[in-house]
Amino acid sequence: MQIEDKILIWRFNRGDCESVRRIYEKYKHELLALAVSLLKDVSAAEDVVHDVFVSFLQLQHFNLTGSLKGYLATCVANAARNIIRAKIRHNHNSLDDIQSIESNTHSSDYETIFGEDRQRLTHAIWELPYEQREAVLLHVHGGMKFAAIAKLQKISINTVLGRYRYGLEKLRSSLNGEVPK
Amino acid sequence: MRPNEIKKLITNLKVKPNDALDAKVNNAIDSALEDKLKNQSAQQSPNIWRILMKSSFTKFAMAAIIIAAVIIGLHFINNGNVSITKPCLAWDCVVSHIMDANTAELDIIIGEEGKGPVIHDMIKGSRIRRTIESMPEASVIDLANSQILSLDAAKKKAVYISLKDLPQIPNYIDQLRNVITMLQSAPGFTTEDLGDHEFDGQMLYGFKATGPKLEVTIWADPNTGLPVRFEQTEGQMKIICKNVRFDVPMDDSLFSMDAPEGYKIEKQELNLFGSTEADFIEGLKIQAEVVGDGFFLDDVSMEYIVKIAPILKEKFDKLTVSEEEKTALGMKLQKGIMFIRFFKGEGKWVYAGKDVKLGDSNTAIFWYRPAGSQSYRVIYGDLAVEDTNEPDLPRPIDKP
Repeated sequence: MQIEDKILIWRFNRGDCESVRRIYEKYKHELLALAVSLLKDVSAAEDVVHDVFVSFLQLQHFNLTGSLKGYLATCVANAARNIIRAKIRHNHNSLDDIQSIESNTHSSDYETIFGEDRQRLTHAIWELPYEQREAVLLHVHGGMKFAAIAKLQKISINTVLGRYRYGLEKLRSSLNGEVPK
Repeated sequence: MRPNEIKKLITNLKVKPNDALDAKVNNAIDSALEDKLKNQSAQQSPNIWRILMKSSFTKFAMAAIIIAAVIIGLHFINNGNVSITKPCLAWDCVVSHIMDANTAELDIIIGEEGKGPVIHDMIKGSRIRRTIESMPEASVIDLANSQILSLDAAKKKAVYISLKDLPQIPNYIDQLRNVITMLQSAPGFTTEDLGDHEFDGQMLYGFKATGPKLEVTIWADPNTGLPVRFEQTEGQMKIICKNVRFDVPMDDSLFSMDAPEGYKIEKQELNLFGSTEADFIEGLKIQAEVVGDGFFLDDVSMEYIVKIAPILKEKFDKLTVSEEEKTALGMKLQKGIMFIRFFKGEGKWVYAGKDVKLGDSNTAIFWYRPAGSQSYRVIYGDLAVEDTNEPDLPRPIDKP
């Protein structure tokens, strides 16, 4: 864990809520990117990031063994899953069908959000099945270990590795203009 | 595109939140901060002294405050104009024990009994060995060399505190004798006979001597004539010395200024006497900003400062500044406190800052008359200072 993060957590555990402001400023761009990438919905992503920090503020004590970024990424992923589960319940679908029920953010919004150079990547990520998308994003973007992702997804580490490999391969194919296998 | 390039792109994915999200999160943090501060103010600490010792800043600050508050507790300082007549025989008899003593041992309390920590002093020559209730350290105060050695046996740490501007006091007991002699020699010296009074189950007989800035009461054991309790009002601070015993055998090693072998040595400096009005004003500002959430404290007396020490500690702990900045801030706060402890003005001071907001330019929060001045200084809530004459004071100094 970064020294600065250790100090921020130490300060938080001593009741210094100002440290949360610093944590937010430090990770807000990445967490929002993760939430948008997972949810394909800017408003819902913003709600997720907000809720993560509100929950964080309610903690009495924070004992962290891994990275702070990884912890926050897990919180975002859990909150994103909750939103998606709620949508699934509403539509009587499964996680595999999530593409069909995700909000449609307009193409022009993607440019505003990610910038043109990352549009293709973003589109490619959104084309992935949710579980693969989550595995790729949490490992690469959130810096989480496969074991932690396995725990979050309640599956075996081998399944996570499989989802990650398939996801990455699909991204590569998509970005290189190949027809996905 | 290769997998590593894709990973790099994913790693660098960032989205700038809109202002509304920033505002929402920041509002949530502000609310949490407000709630925590409210809860902290409402909490009462069960054992303030143990908590206090957890912070190095507080340890130094509290040690300094306590040392400053009572270091000259038994110096019956003659402020020049003692106007009482002749000594009574009983007073003479009782003080003769002080005049003949070589060592002394006593417990000291600042303010009212039962409301503050008990400080235990052993006195031999110019040195005092001081321990404070519930605090692990023992300190040796060397008045001849203006130095304190604070020893923490658990941490094997020795801190030398140099007392800047401390008047030369070659021998503590001698000093006490000199002050009593001076008091008794003053024109118009008298004492008031207070009769019997029971303290801690023991019946004692009391005498009181009063001066312009000083009031000393000595309570003696009627069976032995030995003085066992002193009550001293110095300025606006009360100090009680009880369980006093003279000529108790004491080992010289208890008063050694050498740090034990293997102890880590640190050095600090403490200026007890050099505080100015500007230091006091700076202290008021820090108290209001750091401790009072923008409002001045209820009181600035030593008794009150010692009483709220846990809150001071908590507020300082929660400051989001470096330890160095915290220590610097603590030193400024101390200097402000020293202004009241060693108040050099004429007569009394008045503090009226309770419930006054920092920045309130219409409300006077403190007024006093500087030494040798005909006019008074009035400090307002915006910390501006005005010179004024006695009829224009917010209220007369001697009236509550």
